[in-house]
Amino acid sequence: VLPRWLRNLRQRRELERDLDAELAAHRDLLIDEHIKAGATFASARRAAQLEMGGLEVVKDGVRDVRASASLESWLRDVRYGLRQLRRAPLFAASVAITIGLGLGVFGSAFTILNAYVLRPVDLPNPYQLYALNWDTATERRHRFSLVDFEALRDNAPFFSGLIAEEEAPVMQDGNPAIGLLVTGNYFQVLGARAAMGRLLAPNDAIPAGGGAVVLSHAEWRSHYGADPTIIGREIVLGQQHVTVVGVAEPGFGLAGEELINFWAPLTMARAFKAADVWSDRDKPSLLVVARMREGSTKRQVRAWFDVWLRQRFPSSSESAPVAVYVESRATHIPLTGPIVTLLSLLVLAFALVLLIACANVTNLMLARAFGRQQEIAIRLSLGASRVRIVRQLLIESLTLAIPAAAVGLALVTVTVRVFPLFIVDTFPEGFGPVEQVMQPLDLDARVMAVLFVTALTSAVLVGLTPAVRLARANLVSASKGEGSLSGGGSRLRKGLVALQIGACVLFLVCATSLIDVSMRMANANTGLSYEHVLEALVAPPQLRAKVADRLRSDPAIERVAAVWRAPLSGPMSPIGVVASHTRIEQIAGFLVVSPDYFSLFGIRIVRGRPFTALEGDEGAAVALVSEATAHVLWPGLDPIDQTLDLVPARVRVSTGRRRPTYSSVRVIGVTSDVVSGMPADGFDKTCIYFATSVRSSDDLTMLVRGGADMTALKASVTAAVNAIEPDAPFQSIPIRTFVSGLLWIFQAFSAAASFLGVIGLLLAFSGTYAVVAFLVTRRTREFGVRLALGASPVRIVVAILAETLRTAVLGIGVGLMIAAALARIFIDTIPIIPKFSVLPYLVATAVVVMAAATAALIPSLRTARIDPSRALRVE
Amino acid sequence: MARKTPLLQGTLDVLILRALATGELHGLGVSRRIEQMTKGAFVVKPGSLFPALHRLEEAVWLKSFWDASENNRRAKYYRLTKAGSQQLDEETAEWNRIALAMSRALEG
Repeated sequence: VLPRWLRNLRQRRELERDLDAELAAHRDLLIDEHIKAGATFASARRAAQLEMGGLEVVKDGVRDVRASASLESWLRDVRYGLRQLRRAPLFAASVAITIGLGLGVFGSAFTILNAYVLRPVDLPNPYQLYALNWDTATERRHRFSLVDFEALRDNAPFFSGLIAEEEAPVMQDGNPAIGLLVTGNYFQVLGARAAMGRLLAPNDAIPAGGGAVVLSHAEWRSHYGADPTIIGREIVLGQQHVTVVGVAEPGFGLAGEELINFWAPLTMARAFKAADVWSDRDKPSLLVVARMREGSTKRQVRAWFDVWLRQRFPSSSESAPVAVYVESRATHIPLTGPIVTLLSLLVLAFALVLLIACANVTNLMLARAFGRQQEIAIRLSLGASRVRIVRQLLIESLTLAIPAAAVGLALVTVTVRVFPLFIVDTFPEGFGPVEQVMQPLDLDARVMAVLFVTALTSAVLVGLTPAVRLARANLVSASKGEGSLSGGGSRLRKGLVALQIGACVLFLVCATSLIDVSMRMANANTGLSYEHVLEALVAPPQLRAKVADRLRSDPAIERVAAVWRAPLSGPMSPIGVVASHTRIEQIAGFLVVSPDYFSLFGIRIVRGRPFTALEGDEGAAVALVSEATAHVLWPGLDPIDQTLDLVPARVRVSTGRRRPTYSSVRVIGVTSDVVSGMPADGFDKTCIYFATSVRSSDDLTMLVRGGADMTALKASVTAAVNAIEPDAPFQSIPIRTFVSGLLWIFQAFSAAASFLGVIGLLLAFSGTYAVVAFLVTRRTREFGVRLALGASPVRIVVAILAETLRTAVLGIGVGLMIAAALARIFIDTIPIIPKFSVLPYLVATAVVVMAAATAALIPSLRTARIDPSRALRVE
Repeated sequence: MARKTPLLQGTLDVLILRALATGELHGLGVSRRIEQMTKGAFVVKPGSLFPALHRLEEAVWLKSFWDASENNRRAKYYRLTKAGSQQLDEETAEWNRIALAMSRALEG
């Protein structure tokens, strides 16, 4: 049996017909009564009608007591709303498309955010996984030694499992591959599943290693052609013969481990030439991830771990903690403070598009509401309550949410398909396997829920103000068509226009700033001839020295040099110096380079001389400075043989940056100015070169200069490495690839910002246009009077323009201020963002002012065509 | 759509149930019967009569059906259901209790 309300709803028509018949019969009975009492038919009918009262009122009363009453009245409102929209299809379409655009932009951003940041890794109870580590006074993210790990494992109350791991870079057929050496319980604790074969188990981690490895899905596909018979096969990794026991599921890997090619037991550390924790049990080389026991909290774990560390490493110990980290490994991008700030800003930017789309539509709705005052006034005077009117108008805008959400969803679907293709297509070749880091973009329940909720919120947002304003309408003036919407309404309208213009300026400043940076990067004259230079990372210093010697004897190789960190790969490291003689104190950029660095990059020695080989080998206390530096430190003086005192580092060195240990150095030469930091930053304001050599035992990047053919150059390096130590792991990348990779990041962000900028501009333009057009129509009469009184059309147009620009200036002012504030935040959080430049602000302002003026000019020109005699008759 | 006070609404409902206690009636019949029962004190207008009839029908206290009227017109008739007469008994008792209490209070 159906519930009564549902039955009533289904039989709505019959119920209505039945009610009509019942009331008609009632009236006929009344007439009969009156005729029986002696009345004529006509007067009997009149009397009956009088006694019946308003038929609709009676029917409404009956409808109200039906079990489906409230539902039916909602349905009636929906039908009424749909009818209203069908009557104004252009209006409905422009509202749906505008909000849909905003929803699409915001929804796309959220889908990407969801895939990369919010969606956890595909493991059971991912939110129980935490990485544990700490900073010491001298080292960031200190690692565990095997002894530390075992002590932690045997003593941990809050964990259901603890795993340790370390990376093992190896060569595989001449290409670098990264293995992760893990404790035997690794896959069990994570709860991972195998795509094929099996994963590693505790009994694989037997002493000296059993030789079992698990391949990543990507490795299996790209390197072994997705060979289904791979399980049980013996392969060679580095120089180690191992057996493939399984293939991990696609996409398996914790944050930061997406590029791992294979997993092997930690007991094989020596075989893979990784840090051997078994022979040196105190060597801190292990990363530790814990699975928290059910019911434990992060706070408990943190507190316990803090105490444990402090007991194990008292403040006298070198490993004493200065900061303790318990960081979730549930998501691919760990949600740390700065990342959350940046992501919130990005999401806000996309939400702002939706907001200005709503502002745009609100103005449309307000304009339409103005035209509907009479209709609403009639309904009010017929007894509709104001709450009911608001409800009905809100339902009307909610019916718009459906097509708007459809447009939004369509746009998101397009993004989901196009975004990954776009990334893969434009990503510079050789910069890295971007496909493996990319997460699948799914329209999962969370995305759909957010889309749904934002669509509803937007609909209410755009509908509420006009609805409330309409329902508040004064009956008398409204039914005469005189607006009660004019006064406060125009302030609101202007505010909404200012919001759109402000957001537009904000987007355009971001877009032009990023384009500016990208262009400067793309066309940067760095002063370095880096096109033929390959950066090679050969980790063991002895091996590197031998490789360098061998390369020097290769006729295809022009130059070999070394540097702490390659130029153009990020901002230069800073160091505080005090100049002799002038006592000028300066934070200067510095590089630590081998003697051949200058000739390798074609950096001219303007005065003095470069380092000698001996100075390089000894790391002698001598330095070269760039011309600009000489200018800053010794204006008008000869820098040669001046000395530089190095300001000691401040207490905490936990930034992980290395710095030279001299207390003072003698300047022996001056170089031409080049770009050593970010390509967009331009020539170094200051640059001090300290001496090192390829044979130094420090961590060094080797730079190799050869012909134009980078593949050949790489082959030469590979040959040199293999001749000395076959299959020793090393990495190499042409500097130009690295530079184009950096450039790509900026270009990608420019593209995104430009996209927002164009949409912002479109919305601001159409928003301004619509409001001015509406005002012009509304004030036709006023303008007619003014024209009749002798005002010139030009003055009226100028007055409208001035009014629009006043609104625009307000929006632009706020927009510029927010842009400047944001620029600060970004510069402070991401070091690679170049410094403030004023040009983008000027360009953005000019574009927006022009757009606003044009948008206002087009409709206001219509006033010039007003015929005063006709205008005065406009109702 | 103005709501009646609960007391009045209850009053009308009891009166309708009472009017139908002696036999089935159509809407106008109910209205006239109430006038007669209350000696003209209550004149029930269609605006309150029909919503009340339908409300009682929704509550399954009344059952409606179409039938020929006295002068051979078709009219919609209402009849008390079992639940309806139970309800009438309950409400009558309730009313009597209230009436007694009220008159005692006012006399006392």
